[in-house]
Amino acid sequence: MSEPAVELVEAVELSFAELYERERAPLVRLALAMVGDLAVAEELVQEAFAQTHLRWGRLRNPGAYVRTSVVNGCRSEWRRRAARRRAAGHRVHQTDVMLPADPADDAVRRAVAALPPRRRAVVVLRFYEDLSEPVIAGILGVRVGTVKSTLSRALEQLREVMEP
Amino acid sequence: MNQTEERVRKAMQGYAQVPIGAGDETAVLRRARLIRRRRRVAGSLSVVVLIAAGVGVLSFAAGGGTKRISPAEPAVTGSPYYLAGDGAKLVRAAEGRLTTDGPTFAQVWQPAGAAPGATALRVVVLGGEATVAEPNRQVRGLPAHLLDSGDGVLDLHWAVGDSFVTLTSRGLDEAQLLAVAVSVEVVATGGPATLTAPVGWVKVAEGPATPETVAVDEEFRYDGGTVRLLAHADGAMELHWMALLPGAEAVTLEGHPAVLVTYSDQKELDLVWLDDAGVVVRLQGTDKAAMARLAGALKPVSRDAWLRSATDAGVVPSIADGGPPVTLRAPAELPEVLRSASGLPAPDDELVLAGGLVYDGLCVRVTLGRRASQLESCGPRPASTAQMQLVGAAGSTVEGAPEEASTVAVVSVPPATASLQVVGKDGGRRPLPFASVPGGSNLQLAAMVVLAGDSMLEARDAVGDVVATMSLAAFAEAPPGG
Repeated sequence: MSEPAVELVEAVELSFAELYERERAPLVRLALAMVGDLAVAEELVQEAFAQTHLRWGRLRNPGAYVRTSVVNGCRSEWRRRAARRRAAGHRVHQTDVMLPADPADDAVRRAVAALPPRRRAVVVLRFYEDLSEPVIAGILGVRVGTVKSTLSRALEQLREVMEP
Repeated sequence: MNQTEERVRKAMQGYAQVPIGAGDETAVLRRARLIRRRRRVAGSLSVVVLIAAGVGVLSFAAGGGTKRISPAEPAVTGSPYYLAGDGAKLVRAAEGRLTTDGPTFAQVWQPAGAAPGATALRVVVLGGEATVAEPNRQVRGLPAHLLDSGDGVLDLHWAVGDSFVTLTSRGLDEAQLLAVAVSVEVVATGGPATLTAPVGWVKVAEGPATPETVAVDEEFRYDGGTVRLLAHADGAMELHWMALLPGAEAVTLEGHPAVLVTYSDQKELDLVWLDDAGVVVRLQGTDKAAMARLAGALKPVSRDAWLRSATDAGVVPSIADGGPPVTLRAPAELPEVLRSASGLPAPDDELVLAGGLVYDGLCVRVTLGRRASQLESCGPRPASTAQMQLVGAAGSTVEGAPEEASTVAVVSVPPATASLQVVGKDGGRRPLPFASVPGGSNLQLAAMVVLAGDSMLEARDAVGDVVATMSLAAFAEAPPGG
């Protein structure tokens, strides 16, 4: 994986331990928002940090690198899950996590989780991470126009679910 | 922002309130080291590791029992593959999934090439507690008694044809995990039953073998012979080998954990064990050939008899030709003769590697601790040599070694050698401790840690003249970094 061109975090001199301490929990939450399983999210983040550690010293922006690694890991996880669902005919079990109890929000999160992978990624990065469309494009390796159109279709799909 | 966006944003921000437990940075670093080690080993010498002879506990070099599987790997048709690993460092395949809530293991693999609906997989779980979350009608031959306890510690998913199998175990502590053996095999197919990845683990644990509970019965076939591996429900293992020792019908690893099964990317088999006859045997094989080596013994054994037995069995023997019959002596009878370049005392801390380096008739045993190492001869010595030769190398499997260390190498040096120096990447030289093997031989051995960038090994005589050199280019790989 190449280092992302878009800098997502402030490029300051951090040790690996400091980066881990600062970014781990937010990244686990990001991965959780994407994959819906806390254990898997933690695993993906650990793997991303391990890959980052291997390249430590050669990265211009380790924070951006590890974040992109997490996102890519989530996308790979989705592909694996899709294969499992196709084969086993059931949905992959999702671990319960301590989310604020709000039926309306739960419904929205379920709707987001049901989106196709790219749409889901865009929605999470846009509305959870609050990233701009160019930054999202950098993470996903697509053009800004693609992000815009994907986001538009995702919102349209969500709207149909939320406002039938 | 419209209403939909606001609702989505509000819902998604709920994730920001999820409590996240503290992370384990050391686990990340261990994972990084494991990745680095695998990358190194992939292109270097295939050395596997072994045993603490006569000791009940086996520690083996990290990574020795694990393998990362790429879906792009050539498929292995037919027999299941078994991987051995320790419980703390869990096997993870490319399609696998490990969770982080304690010792867990899981693996997903994909049988390919079989007609959908015509392939059945048998999953056998030994020891520990296991529960099949979703009994699957397509799994045949699953011993029911293995599935009747526990509270969700094991989830099985499986399918047929071009799908997948997932095995996830949670909640087992390390001791339990070590007692767990898992095997998976194709038991019925409608076409070529091709497994594209290893399908299980064999965990070795102590305990007497009870034939009624044999659950893993697998033969590894090579041009040179066949090895039959039996894993029992209680964790004991038996290895039946075509190149039998004189008078023996089988090599039985009765309650002895000193066996390690490892596959490299070249599908190599590398087994080292101390059999119940007190003989250290190493069997190496690829998909083309097999080779057996007598690596040492705890009591005298006739080399000729062993050689004859091996030859009769079709295994390519690897013992130096010529010369009188050699009687191997017990490693314990041979004094410690060498120390590694670190110059540290003998290991007095945690054992991280005990490796056998075999070069023709010579057996060299390397023991590395976290802060110290030692090297000892444990077999017959070859004739003296006028040039330096590489005797063996343990590639990149040393936990705790300097980060830039790439290889632990053992070399023989000319008799006139009085000192050794390693030429580093900056042209500087550092001395290398070594010692001669006692007993009248003029052979001298040296153990060294080759660092990235090291270019040359120089042997000098008493007056400082270079009497031999050996290039270290083969070891001078760049420091890993992913």
